[in-house]
This record gives sequence, C-alpha cells and structure tokens, in this order.
Amino acid sequence: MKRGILDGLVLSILKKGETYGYELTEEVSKVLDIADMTLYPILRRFEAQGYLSTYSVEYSGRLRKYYKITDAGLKHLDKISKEFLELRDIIDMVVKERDHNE
Amino acid sequence: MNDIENFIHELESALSKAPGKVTEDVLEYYKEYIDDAQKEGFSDNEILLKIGSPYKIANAALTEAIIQSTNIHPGPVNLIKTSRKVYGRGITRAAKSMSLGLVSIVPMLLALLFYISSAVFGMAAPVIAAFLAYSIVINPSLVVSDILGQAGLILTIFTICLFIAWAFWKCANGLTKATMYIFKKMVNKTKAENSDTDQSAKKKRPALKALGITLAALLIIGLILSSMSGIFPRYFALWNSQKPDSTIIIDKSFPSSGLTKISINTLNSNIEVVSYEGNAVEIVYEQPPYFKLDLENNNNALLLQETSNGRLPLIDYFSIHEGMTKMTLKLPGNMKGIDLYLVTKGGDVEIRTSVRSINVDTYNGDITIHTPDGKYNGKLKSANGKVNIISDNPEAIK
Repeated sequence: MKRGILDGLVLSILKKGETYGYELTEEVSKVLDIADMTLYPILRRFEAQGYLSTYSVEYSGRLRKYYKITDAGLKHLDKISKEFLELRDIIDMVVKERDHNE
Repeated sequence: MNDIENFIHELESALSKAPGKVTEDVLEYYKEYIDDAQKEGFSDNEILLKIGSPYKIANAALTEAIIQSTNIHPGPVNLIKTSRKVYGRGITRAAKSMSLGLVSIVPMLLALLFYISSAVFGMAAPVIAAFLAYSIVINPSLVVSDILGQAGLILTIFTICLFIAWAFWKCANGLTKATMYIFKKMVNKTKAENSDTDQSAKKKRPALKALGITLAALLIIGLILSSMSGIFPRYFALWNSQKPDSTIIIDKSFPSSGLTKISINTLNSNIEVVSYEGNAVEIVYEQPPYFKLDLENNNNALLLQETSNGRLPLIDYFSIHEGMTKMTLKLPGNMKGIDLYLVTKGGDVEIRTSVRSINVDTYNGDITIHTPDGKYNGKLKSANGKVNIISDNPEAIK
C-alpha cells in the first residue's frame, strides 16, 4: 500500500519540475517516512518504463543526474490519481461509519 | 576507511554479480546522494542511517535489474537465474507474497518445459535428416526420382522440426515474460506495468530473419522434390488401403517334401494360408513398389520376409494401416505336418487350412482361423486387432 503511494508521490513531485536524487528524497521524506525504503529501484523502474527521462548536469565539479517526467509518466500519474480518488471515497465512508457508531 | 567509504565498498561488493551497468548506476546514485547530504550539513552517521543497509539496496537493485534484463532477453538461462534469485529472495518474504509466488511457478515451469521441447525438436531435426540420408546411402538401387524424393522428404522433415522448435521457443519466451510480470508484482508489491518500452528496446536481428527465410525456402524445395517423386501418393495409398497401380504379382513354387516350417514376416501385407490340389508349396505375392520380398529356403524351413526397399522412408517404423496387398501361401491338401510362424505389422492374417501348429503375431491386423472343430495348436497374438476362431470345414481351393 505504502509503495503504491510512493509511486504516485514520486511522479507528482516530478510533475512540479525536474529534480535530482537528494532533493527528491528530501521532498518525499517530508510526507512519508522512507528510512527503510529506497527510491533508487523506483526511479530505475520508471526510467525503464519510460515514465521519466534523465540527463546529467555538471555541478560543483561533478555530474548531477536530473529526473524529468515524460508524457507516459503524466498519464500514469493520472491513472494513479484516479485510483486514489476512488480509495478516498471508500476511506471517507469507513471513517464516517466509525464516527457514526461512536 | 571511514564509514561512508565502507558503505560504498560493501555496496560495490554486494553488487559484483549485477548485469550490465547496474553497479555503476547504483553507486553513482548513492555517491551523489551522500555528497549532496554532506553539503547540507548532515553527519556521516545520520546519512547512513537514512540510506539503510547496503545489502538491502543491492538485493533490491539486483532483483529489479535481472527481472528487467530477462524480460528484454528471455531465454532458459536467464529464466533459471532470475527464478533462483526471486524465489531465493521470496523465501525471506514468503509471508507477504506466497500466493503470487505459487502462481508464478506455473508459467515458470511451463516456460522451462517449452524450452526443453524446443531443444528436443531442434536436436531431432539433424538426427532425423542424418538417419534418412543414411537410409538413402544403404539403398543405392533406388532410381533417381526417389533419391530426389528422399532428399525432399529430409528437407521437409528437417525444416518442419526446426519450425516446431522455433514455435516452442517463442511460446517459452512469452511464458518467461508472463513469469517476469508476476515476479515484478511480487518484488514491487505494486501494480506491475507490462510496458511496451521494454519491447521496443529489442531490435529485430537481421540474421534471424535471413535464417527464417532460408528455412521457408528449404521447406518449399523439400515439398516440391518429395511431391515430384510420388512419395506422398504412396503413403496415401498405403493409408487409404488402395493397391498402388504399379503392384506386380510374384508367383513362386517350392518342393514340399521335407518341409516342416514356414515363416512369413510382412510389414503391411495381408497373409492368407489356403490348401489346394497341388504338390508344391506356392507363394503368390502382390508386391507394391515400396516393398521387396526376400526368400530363404533351407532344407526343411522356408522363410519369406517382406522388407522396405527404401522407396517409402521410415515405413519399417510405422504401422500405417491394415495392408492392402496380399501374400497367399498355398499348401498341398495332404501337407499337415507343418509349423507356421506368421508375423505382420499392419496386415490381417487368415488361415483356411489345418496344420500342425499356427503361431501368429500381428500389430494392427485381425487374425481369422478356420478349423473343423475350433481347435488349433500354437499361439495367436494381436496387439490391436481381433482374433476369430471359426468352426467350419475349410474347403480346398482347386
């Protein structure tokens, strides 16, 4: 469940603008505790699936890899968002039911 | 060596078996991350705590990478490697993805089975071709059109075997991809995407295409050559129980005195044994163009053997149908002290005379015996046919 959320989170951060590994991790950890998770496999998978493209820029004497969301990535994010919306309705219902019973 | 260097070193050695440039990629990612984190003022300990265990990272990256690479380059070796890795890893998290693990075993095993079938057909192709070539070499008496026909048949069977092998291989690759799809789900625990980008990365290999065209051309040449020689109509005639036009009749007589044993072996001809008003043992054999009759007469034993003359390859190994050509053995009416040994693969056997013993072994054909009292000596065996004992008085043929 948490990993499905992580997929959507990473894509939505990338939708706001291209970014690099450290910054992305920081952005994610603001919302989610990812101490025991690693972003690397997700980024790699997204790259293989064509959801994001990469390029390297020189920064203080070394290369920094930037990640950029693609059209396929935006489409995938759209799909995930729709699923989350459906999920939210269910969650709302469950929570309301609990409040009602109390 | 400080903690960071130690971490990088451990990560590198844990990734030593990774395919392609995975090691480079992962190391680059984490080096960059650590660098940035240090610039933000985090201590080494804090950073390492954030990142987690190098073995966990390596394992996740490695599993992801081999699934990906097997998806792009399916094949038995990659399938086995990946399965070992994923199941090995799966055991540690068995409780989480047990059901997916069990489901994935089905396509995985099927894929392996298909790879094995592909290999069997691939290897059978040259073996069958060599075997048929050998059957041509040992039959130099064949006319030219038959050598062409046999060569055509070799080509046809050879290419068909290779096509079957190819089809099995393609199916196995599809099953491997299905397995990888489940593996992805197992490892990621998220909805796996069967992305088209994986496949677009694969380029069509021109060498393979040329090979396919060559095979198709060989198949067409093979079919033309074998139909020119008339091998197919001969097989069809045999299967359809039609006497081929070029059947000839062989009529031979042998002195009956002293003869105590007659053995007949046929491949696909019917055998009939009758008694007649003559003094010699007579054989009337309808010989189709693809058989020949070997005769052997040793003092008191007569042996008749129908063999393939090579003009219908592999006929010795198949029992196509009940025979349509007939071998008639005529015994003098007063010749009772004789032992009959009759063996046929495809033919029926009918015996209309009483002799000392009757021994019959057929594969597909029926056995019919006429005796005055329903009694006979000897052994009757038919693997797939019927055995009939009819009580009547067989009349001698004039």
